[in-house]
Amino acid sequence: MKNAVEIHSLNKTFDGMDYVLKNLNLNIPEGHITTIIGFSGTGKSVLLKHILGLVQPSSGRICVLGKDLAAMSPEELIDFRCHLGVLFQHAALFDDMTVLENVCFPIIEHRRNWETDAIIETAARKLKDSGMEEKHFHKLPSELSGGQRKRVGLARALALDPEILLYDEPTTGLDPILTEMVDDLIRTTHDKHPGSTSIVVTHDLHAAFNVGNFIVMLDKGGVLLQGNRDTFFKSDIPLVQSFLEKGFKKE
Amino acid sequence: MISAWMRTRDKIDKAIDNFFLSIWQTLIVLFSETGSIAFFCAESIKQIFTKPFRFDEIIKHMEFVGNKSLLIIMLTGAFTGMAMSYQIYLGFELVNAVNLVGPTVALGITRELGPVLTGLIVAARAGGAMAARIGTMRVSEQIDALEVMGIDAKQYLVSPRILAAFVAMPLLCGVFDFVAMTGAYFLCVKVLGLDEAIFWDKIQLWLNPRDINEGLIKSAVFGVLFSTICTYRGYNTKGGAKGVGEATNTGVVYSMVIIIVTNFFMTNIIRFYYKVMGIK
Repeated sequence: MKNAVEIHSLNKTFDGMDYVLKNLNLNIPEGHITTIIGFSGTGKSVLLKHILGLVQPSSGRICVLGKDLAAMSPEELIDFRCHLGVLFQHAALFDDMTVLENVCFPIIEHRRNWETDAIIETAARKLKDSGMEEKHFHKLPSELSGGQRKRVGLARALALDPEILLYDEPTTGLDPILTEMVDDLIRTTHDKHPGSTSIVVTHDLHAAFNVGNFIVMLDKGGVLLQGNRDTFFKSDIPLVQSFLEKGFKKE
Repeated sequence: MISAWMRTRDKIDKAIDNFFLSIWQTLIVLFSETGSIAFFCAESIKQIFTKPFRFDEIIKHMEFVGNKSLLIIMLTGAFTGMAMSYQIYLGFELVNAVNLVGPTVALGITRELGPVLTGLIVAARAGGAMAARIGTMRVSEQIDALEVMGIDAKQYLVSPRILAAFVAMPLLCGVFDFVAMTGAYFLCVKVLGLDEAIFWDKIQLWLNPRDINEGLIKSAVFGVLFSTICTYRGYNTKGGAKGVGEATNTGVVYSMVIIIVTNFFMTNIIRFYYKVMGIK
């Protein structure tokens, strides 16, 4: 099986003393939905930022789509990120742009030879694929509900047809119905883009086990356990059992 | 008795150590911050000439820095010109030199007050908005979103703002000078009864185009300074709303202090240049 992301001996410290990520080794398979779970403060979001090249590792190596991020110049890294799409925790939509402009923006930036009509048509299609109705296209992000923002954020993340799609805590702060909707959205988006890789960072156990075919649990900056649902439910690691028990009881 | 004295001496020693340590730490922070801002500025200026050129953004920010500051600049300019000319008139009246009120006001306005006040006002208005806007984008992950979209956030957010301030500031300073002189003319000639011909004649005699240029050059430098400091503060915002508030506050305060300090040094450098070149 080919790997979309390969991480070798990754260490990260911000103050030189406490390690957020410690000797982390992880391979994320291509073409699957991988969910990364763990208690708060175990380094999930920091790991995501490393995969995106937004944070430099203190030591170790990260290869994304076969390319070593550390070997890239800042300009190369910026260009390389076109292969990645991200749905941020709070969607991170540009608040001075309308819904349609938000999705058009990455296309305008990277498809400079495209006609305006083609850009708008592509953006509108991405929005519709993400479940946005046309009547909302000219609204500002502040006029949208939480779920609608996630849909627009997803459409924008998909705008350049990325090979890897990353979701940073996509269901945080959403009610159960919206959480279900976002989970469905992740699954249908993955099904509509065969061959693409999805990485979901979440502490929502229900989403992690329903959406992901490959699950990684982090603890103290390293990988505690990785595998499919069965691996987790059969695990006798006390921390995994406690996490599953508490997580599912809460839900 | 002796041990009490020793304890007091230890406390005094500690206080002195802490005092020098805090000065040392402040100096280190000051130098490292100055270095970071200088590097940030150089990088952003370099990116102005990097493709894709963002003309739309530059025009948008020029409109924001320039056009939207116009009214407040005119208002401030008119009252500054009037207040300054009145004070100078009162002083010069004592020594029977009211004929020199016009050129004194003109030199003061064009060389010093025009660029400095324009810098301070625009730094407070546009600089504060720059820091707040970029800071909000940082804490709401919009800058991260730009970067993961393969867009150089500095080139998109910072460079156009610095260029816009660099271009708009001399224009605003020119407007300030003109309105301030109009205010001075109105007060001196129409209110205080100074002779109109003498007022303009003396200005023509004493005011040199290079005095106006001096002010315009200063204001362009101030534009680069405040836009760099404020965008740097916004770009490096940490935390939530509190962080944005702090970034805005420190951005504006540092910009104002730097403008006033830089003005003094620029005045001296320009005078020194004139002296070396033999310009009187």
